[in-house]
Amino acid sequence: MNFEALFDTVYPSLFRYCNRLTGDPDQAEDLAQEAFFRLLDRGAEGTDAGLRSWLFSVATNLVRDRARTRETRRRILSGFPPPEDETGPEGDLARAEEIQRVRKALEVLSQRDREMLLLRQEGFSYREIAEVADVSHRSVGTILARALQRFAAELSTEESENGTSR
Amino acid sequence: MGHPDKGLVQALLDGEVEGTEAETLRAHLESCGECEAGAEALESASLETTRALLVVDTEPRLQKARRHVLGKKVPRSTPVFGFSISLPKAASIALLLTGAAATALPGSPVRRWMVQGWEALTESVRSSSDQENPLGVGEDQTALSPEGLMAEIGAGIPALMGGVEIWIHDLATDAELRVIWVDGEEAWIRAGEGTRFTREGSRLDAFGPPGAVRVEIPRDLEQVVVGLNGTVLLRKSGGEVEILGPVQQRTPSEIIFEAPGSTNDGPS
Repeated sequence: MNFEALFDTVYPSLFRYCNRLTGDPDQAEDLAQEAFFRLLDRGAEGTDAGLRSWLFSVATNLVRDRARTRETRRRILSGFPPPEDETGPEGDLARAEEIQRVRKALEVLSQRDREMLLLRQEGFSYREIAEVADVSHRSVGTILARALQRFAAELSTEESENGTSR
Repeated sequence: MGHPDKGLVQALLDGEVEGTEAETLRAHLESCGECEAGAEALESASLETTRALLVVDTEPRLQKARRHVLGKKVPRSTPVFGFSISLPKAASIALLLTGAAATALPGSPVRRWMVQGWEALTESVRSSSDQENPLGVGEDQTALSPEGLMAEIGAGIPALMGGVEIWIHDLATDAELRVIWVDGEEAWIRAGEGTRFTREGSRLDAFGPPGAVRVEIPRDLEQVVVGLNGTVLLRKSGGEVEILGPVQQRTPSEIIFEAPGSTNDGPS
């Protein structure tokens, strides 16, 4: 597979993963593209599966780096009041609430568990997930089972607290 | 067997357990109500997760990202000057770059500094003249030719997978077609404003270029074909360069081909 075909195949999935991980489509776009730029710099040598895994691994590290930067910035700005929420039409508001509910449930998970759960959703094998998350292959199932159940439980809690209907 | 832990059941549900171990596990789940309920809970959580995550998804801006990533790199040895730079400034930078390139060895700190300077310049030009490319071919940049005012556009193709084909169609009579060897990772066609470009796979085509055409080929590229109106002018395979078209002038760094309408009217 040439670089363009690889881009067309992997980019949508990588963008979705970064968007789910960061909750910010603009940032997800930057991260996914940065991963491809780094692949260009490195040279696109390897199997399709290997390159795909490499791209996700790079993007995951970029997300972690940015999360650290964001945390530092948050600490610096903690003395300032947050900006007021912008609210749109009712439909947008309902969707925004739904997104917020899912994001809050994701935030309950640790960074590593969140990454592993989202990698699973992109169809990665346990071996690939173990490599990206730097955990043992045998522990992947246990971590995923716990993360999935915790995420689902948190969604239910959020739903009952907010009275959200499906 | 004893009750399997959740991790093993999850692995089974995810298709990570195979063969005899999978059969044994399934048999246990069918016979053990407690484990069966646990597996159902995991499946339910999995379905709920998939459904919920769809809520936060947004469509990627694929074409924009494609243009950004695939058209990002600008060949480093033959820079193009954007129209937002004044001619005197462009000329002074050209002189500076040319002089430095002549004296700086590849990989030297001076050369790296020059390249970084150039990349910063092209970035600033691109951001000020960022325009949509309906063909999705490289990133077009309006340029000033050495003569000063002729508008020029270009399209590039990444040379990552070993080979490229460059084809020119309907070149103006007596127009010059120049092939230049460059450092970099992309092959480019630069031609007069009004040229139409298409790209498919490893092939880049330019149609109806008014005036001179410059084809830039990375030196390290293994397989290259340059053709005009369906006839191959040049073929490079590894270190071997086969010249098949009528040559007007040749130096170590460039080959100028005679275009249709000239005395030698195309190769046989």
